[in-house]
This record gives sequence, C-alpha cells and structure tokens, in this order.
Amino acid sequence: MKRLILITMAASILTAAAATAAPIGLGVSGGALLPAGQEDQGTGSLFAIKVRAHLAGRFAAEPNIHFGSFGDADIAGVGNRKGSSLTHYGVDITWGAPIAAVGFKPYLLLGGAVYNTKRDGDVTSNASGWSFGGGVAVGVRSNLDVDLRGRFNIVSSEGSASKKSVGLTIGVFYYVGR
Amino acid sequence: MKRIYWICAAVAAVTAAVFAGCVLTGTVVITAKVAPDAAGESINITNLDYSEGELEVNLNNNATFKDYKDDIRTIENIGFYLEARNNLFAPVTFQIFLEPDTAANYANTEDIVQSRAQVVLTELIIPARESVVIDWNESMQYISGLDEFKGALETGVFSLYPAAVPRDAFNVTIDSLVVIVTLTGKK
Repeated sequence: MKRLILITMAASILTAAAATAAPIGLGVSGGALLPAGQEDQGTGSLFAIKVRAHLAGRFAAEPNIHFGSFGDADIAGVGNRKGSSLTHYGVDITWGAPIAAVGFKPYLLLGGAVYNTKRDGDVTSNASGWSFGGGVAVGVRSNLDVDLRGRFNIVSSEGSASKKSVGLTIGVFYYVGR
Repeated sequence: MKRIYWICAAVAAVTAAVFAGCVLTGTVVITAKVAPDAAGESINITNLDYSEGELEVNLNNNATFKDYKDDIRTIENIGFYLEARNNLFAPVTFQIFLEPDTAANYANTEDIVQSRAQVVLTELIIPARESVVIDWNESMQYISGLDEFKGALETGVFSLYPAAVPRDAFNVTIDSLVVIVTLTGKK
C-alpha cells in the first residue's frame, strides 16, 4: 500500500511538471551511508537515482530510490557483524534557488519514503520513514547541476523506536525538456 | 539569494540541535564475558560432571546497559563469541540454553532439556578432538527462538547453560564465551 501511494505521488508530480513544460532533471548520485546512534552498523556506501521536477515557486519535487548498505560493525574482542542493506524509495520536496539555472544554489529538503532493511540473522523490515537535510546544487550549465547533499533518515522500528542514519552524496542532475 | 543562505544556515543549526536530541535513542551493543571465569580458568562440562555448567550473566555490571535499562524499546538480537574444544573422539552438537531464574541450578543437561530453559544457540557441530571459534557474525546463524527470551534479556540477569548432543557422551571445554546483546533504547 505504501509503495502504491508513493508511486502514485511520483507519477502525479511528474505529470504535473511535464504539463508546465518546465525542465525535468534526471539525477544519479553516490556517497556514504553513516549510522547515527546504531552501534551495530558501520559506515557504508549509498547510490541513488532520482528525478527533479519544478512544482511551484522555489519548490521542487524529487521521486527517488536509494540503494545503501551499512559497513561492518566491529566490537573489540567479539569480531564484527555484517552491516544491513538499506533500500528506500520515496519523494523529497526541496526548497531553494530555481532549478535548471547556472549558479550556486543551496536548498533544503524534506522527504518521505519506505525503507527496507535486511541482514542475515535479523528480521527483514519494511517501514515508513522520513528524512530532512539540505545541499548545494552547482549549476555549471543551465542543464547540468553538480549536487552535494546531506540527508538525515529517521525510520520507524519495533518498540516505538527509530533507526537513524545520514546519507552524504555527490551527484549530477541533467535537465531535459527546456 | 543571500536570504536563502541565511535560512539554510538557520535550518542547519536547528537540525543539528534536533539531531543531538534524537541520537539519545539509539541501538547499542552490550557485551558480557562469561568464560574464562573470574580466576581465568576455562569451563569444562561433561555428561558425568556438570558442576561448572551454570554460567550466570549480570548485564547490570555494564555501564551502557545501566544507562539504557529503564527505557529499553526492543531487544534486537543476541549473539556470542565462542571458543570451544571437543575432547572426545566423536563429534558433538553444541548448544546454549538460557534460564531467566538464576537460582534454578540444574544438575545435568537432561534436567535443562526438561526445564523451561530456552535453547538460544544450537546446531553448532564441533568435530571430534577439534576446536571451533565462532565470532559475533557467525554466531547469528545458530541463534534460535529470540522472541521466547527477550524478557529475560531486558532484566539483564539470567543464567546460561552450555550443553551438547549426544547427552550421554560429551566432554567440551569452553575457553572463551562472550554474550553480545543488541538493544534499542533511550538513555
């Protein structure tokens, strides 16, 4: 159900953006996934595919999918524990300077997603979560941004608790449709 | 454009403050050494002599556990670090049972199997006259029935009883045993 809602939202956003004839950005990024307050995970890697579409004013929407994996946790004297994989897909709303323009463009983001966490020996979890963060898009051309971003993920988990992590990525957006 | 910089900077500062509060709830890994014993001696169990069998664990001696004990949200899992030797000329299947009542004091493995103690580690085969070293990650494949004993882990006080199959012919020396409890809670 969560998956269906997110897919519907993403499709609606892209359809609305296409109707305004505004450029749509296609992006990829990669970087590091850091556990926050999770001693049983280590620092790992993160890869993302996303689409950026102008909504209104300074707002843009980004349907996205992230493929992450935590690194091994190492506790002295007992060896290590393999890190979990963390895949999440959802929609971010960004607020900042106009997209598809040359220049230095800081922005903030707020997102919702479904997070899938998997590891041998643990129960596989599909949980909703949200994230916030910000970044800077450096428009080197009107149709090309280099994007630096930090994102703090908060994922609901068993026992009214939450799992937190930080994603730090660098990537590019290529805008089409202008 | 300058206004956007200032707003982003302000939000980043607030975010940092929220972040600092959020991480008070976290997942921590608690370890407790069970063997060798306080005198530095290995633990030996046999089907004929089980006098060293009960291994009491008290996580309340661990500073991190004390910090989180009052608001444990969930026990994520239990794992072990184990170094054990099979002293006989036939393979054995090694097990560990968990008993919440530290006064139970079972006299032999038959009593343990008949009791309410839960098997927490099982199916670990130690070949004849060989040693095994199982680290944290490897131990996860031998863990059984976590839901049955989560409550006992939350109290922090319980007994572990190592055992082996066949019940009527085993002689195992445990050179090192560390219990690893992963929990999510709030300080």
